[in-house]
Amino acid sequence: MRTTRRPGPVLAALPLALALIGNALASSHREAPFITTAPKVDATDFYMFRSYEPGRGDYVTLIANYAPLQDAYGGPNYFSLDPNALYEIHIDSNGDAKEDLSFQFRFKNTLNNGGISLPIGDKTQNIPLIQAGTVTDVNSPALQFRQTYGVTVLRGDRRAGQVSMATNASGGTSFDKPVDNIGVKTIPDYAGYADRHVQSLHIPGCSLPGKVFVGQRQDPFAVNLGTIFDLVNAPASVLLDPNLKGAAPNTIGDKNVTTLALEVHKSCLTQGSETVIGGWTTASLRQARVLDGTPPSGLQTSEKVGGAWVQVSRLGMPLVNEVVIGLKDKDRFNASKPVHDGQFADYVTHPTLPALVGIALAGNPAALAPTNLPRTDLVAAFLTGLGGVNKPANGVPAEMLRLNTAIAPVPFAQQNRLGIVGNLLAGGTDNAGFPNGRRPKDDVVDIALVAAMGGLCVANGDGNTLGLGTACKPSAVPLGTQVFNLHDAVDQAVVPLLPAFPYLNTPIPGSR
Amino acid sequence: MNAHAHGWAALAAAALLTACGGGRDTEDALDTVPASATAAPEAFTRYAAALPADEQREPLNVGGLVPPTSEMAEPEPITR
Repeated sequence: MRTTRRPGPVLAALPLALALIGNALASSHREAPFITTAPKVDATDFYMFRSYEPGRGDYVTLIANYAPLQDAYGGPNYFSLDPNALYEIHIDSNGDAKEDLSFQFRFKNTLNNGGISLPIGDKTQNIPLIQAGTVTDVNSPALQFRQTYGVTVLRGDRRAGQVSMATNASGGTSFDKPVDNIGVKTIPDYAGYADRHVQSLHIPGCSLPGKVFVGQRQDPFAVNLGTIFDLVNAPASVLLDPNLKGAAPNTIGDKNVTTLALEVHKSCLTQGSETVIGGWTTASLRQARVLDGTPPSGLQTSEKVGGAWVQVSRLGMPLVNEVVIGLKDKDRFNASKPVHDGQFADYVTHPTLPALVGIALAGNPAALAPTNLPRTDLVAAFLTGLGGVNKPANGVPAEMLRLNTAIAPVPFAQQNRLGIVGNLLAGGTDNAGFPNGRRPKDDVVDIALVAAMGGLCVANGDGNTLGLGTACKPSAVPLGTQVFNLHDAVDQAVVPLLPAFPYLNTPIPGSR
Repeated sequence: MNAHAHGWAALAAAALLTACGGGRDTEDALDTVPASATAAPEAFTRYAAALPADEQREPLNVGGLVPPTSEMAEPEPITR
């Protein structure tokens, strides 16, 4: 019998126990040395939440964003995904830090009808752009570039598990991806055009059909990116004033990303009595590549790839590889599996971010850093899930986004931008936010700042109320209760979103 | 021939390629990927990993190359 884990006593009795997660500042756009060379497989953000679209509350939405910092005008080829890559979304259903279910996306690029050519004098010539007219429909004849994809379902190990193909409403295994938002003259109604690419997804072994969408979206992540990476180039007085939480513009508010979105019934993601699932996304490339010095006509013919898949990008909890893992180990982290996360434990127990914030804001690495080392508070937040909220009954410590599927979704208007932390501070009923999964509205930057700078230890009090260790107490936190005021001066909650799947906003057009 | 044998053949070919030095404009077996390198995914990976950097040679002829792939294999260890 499936039991429902509801918010437990820790959550109910300890308001500031909140939440949280100790990462911090920007998400994972270009966060590691190697991945900057392969932007098409660079995962930027991962979201996992009970769907809050009316009537869809028993479904879980999974969103993996790739290809960061897209300028909408980036034609003529724009930002198609890599047909020589493997994109995956993994689910751990029993807390053992290993995937039990994986959705694999493989893309195929083709020249529609052999390409579009125009008669020029006595010759017929292939056009240099990807479109030759107005685009309104799926697989429009005005497009000469077509990208399709298939969704493979793996049960068990992602390489050795049981393989099956997901199908659309017609029983086919091929799905169309909309072309990017070239501009309003080419695609007058991009929202409607993209919506026609939201398709039914029939998953073998799952009795209830889900949905799938892959396509360009406005980047939903909001952050004060340039300021943060410029040694936090803002006065502490601003960053600690709650009234200024939206004082700065969203640095990446004019960028697009490419989204892989699934909506799957929660019963298809859980196992037995365990209601907590872990999720993360990865991207892999073939291990070997040779370049063709004389590529033939076609699409992306300059390379030939072979060998096994090699994981080059990994993203579960936001910001981990960005501001927790040391520069020298970022590529290693991107290639790693959650079950082996013990190798990175020192970065969590002895984090450098609080010291860097001290250097940036006070000229002293010890000025603002919590003194409770090892940081047992961050270990709990990062690697195990929160007791009474999203900690699996038999969990192995590992970094991934964890969602208790038994906690009901909350309508958008009632969602607290600070997730569980904000909800508890406000005395509300929204337990469906970060770090219990992650919704697009959750301001993970602000939440993470609070956690990294010791918010959990202030909440733990002098009596070890949260069980985070006796050294994790208010006196170990130089900022004291001011830590709860920390923010990056960019408000995640005002980013435009859609009210329904795939939730992320229509991408910014290349021209208006 | 097992995968390891293919790998050694690839390494030997790569070493020979190194020994030849430049060879610009020459047409020989080293201008193409040897069949042994395409016999198995791991052999292809070892072959590609063993290719030496070369400032003078023209690119390999890979026009007819169909690299072997695997959906199940774990990556080959790469010796640096």
